[in-house]
Amino acid sequence: MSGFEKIRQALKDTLTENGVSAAICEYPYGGKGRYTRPILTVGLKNGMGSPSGFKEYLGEISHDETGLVREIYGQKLDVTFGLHIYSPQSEEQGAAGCAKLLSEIAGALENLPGGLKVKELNWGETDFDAKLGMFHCETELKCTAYLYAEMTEEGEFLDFELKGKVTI
Amino acid sequence: MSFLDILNSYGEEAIVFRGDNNFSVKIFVQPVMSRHSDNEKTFTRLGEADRAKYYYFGPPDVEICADEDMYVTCGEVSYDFVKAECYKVLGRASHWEAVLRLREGGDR
Repeated sequence: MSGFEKIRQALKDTLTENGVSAAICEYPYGGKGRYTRPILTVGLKNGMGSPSGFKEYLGEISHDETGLVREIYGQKLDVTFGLHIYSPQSEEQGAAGCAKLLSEIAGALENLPGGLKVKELNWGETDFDAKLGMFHCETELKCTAYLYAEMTEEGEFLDFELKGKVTI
Repeated sequence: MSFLDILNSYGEEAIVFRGDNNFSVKIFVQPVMSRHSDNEKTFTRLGEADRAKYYYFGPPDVEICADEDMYVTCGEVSYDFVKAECYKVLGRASHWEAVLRLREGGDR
C-alpha cells in the first residue's frame, strides 16, 4: 500500500471508528453490493507536497532504550479527499440519508489523528445517481497532513509516519 | 395453445419473491442485446456494477412490479424487476413481461 493509500485508509478508519455508520475506500475490487443504508466512499482528489521545517529538517530524536540519537525530517502535504455519500432510494433512507451521514462525518472529524488537520469541509447539493440507483451527495475535505521520518546513520529514511497514527 | 401452456411446457423453473411470500413459476429469461454502453459492466465508486438487462416472460397469475421487495431467482441467478407490464388477450391476463437487472448480492 502506497503512502497516499495509507493516509486515505487512516481517514476511512478514523471516520468509521468515530460514528460514521458505513465507509469504504472508493473503487473497491469486486462487485457492488446491495446497500440498504447510506454509505460513504473515501478517495483522494488532489494533493500538494511541501517541505516542513528548515529544508525538511525538524531536529533530533533520542531513543532512551538504545541510546540512539537520530535526525528527523518532515513533510507537509495539502490533501483534498473526495467523500461521496450514497443513500438508497427506499422510503426509510432516501435523500435524507445523505444529510444524516454528512452530520456523522462532521462529528467524526473532531477525532482525526494529530497529523491530519482539517482546513475545510465543503458539500454540494444532493442529487440522484441513475447509474447506481441511489441518492448522492459529493463532499470535499481539505486537510494538511504532517509526516515525519527518522534518518539512519547510513543516510536512509525509516518509514514516514503520519503524526499521531499511521506508519507509511 | 396459450402463453401459459407454452410456459408450462418450455419455461424454466424459477421462484418469484415478494416480501415474505414466494411463488414457484415457469418463466423465460433472456438477455437483452444492446449497442448502447449503458448495458455493460461499469466501475463505480461502490464497486463493479453490471448494467446488463434481461427480459422476463412469466405466467399471468403471479403479479409482478418494480419494487425493492420483489425479485426472481432462476437457477443460481437473482434478478430485480425494473419495469413490468401485464398483457391481456380478450380482456383477460395472458402473461407478464418485464425488464430485469441482475440483483446485487448481500444486503449491506
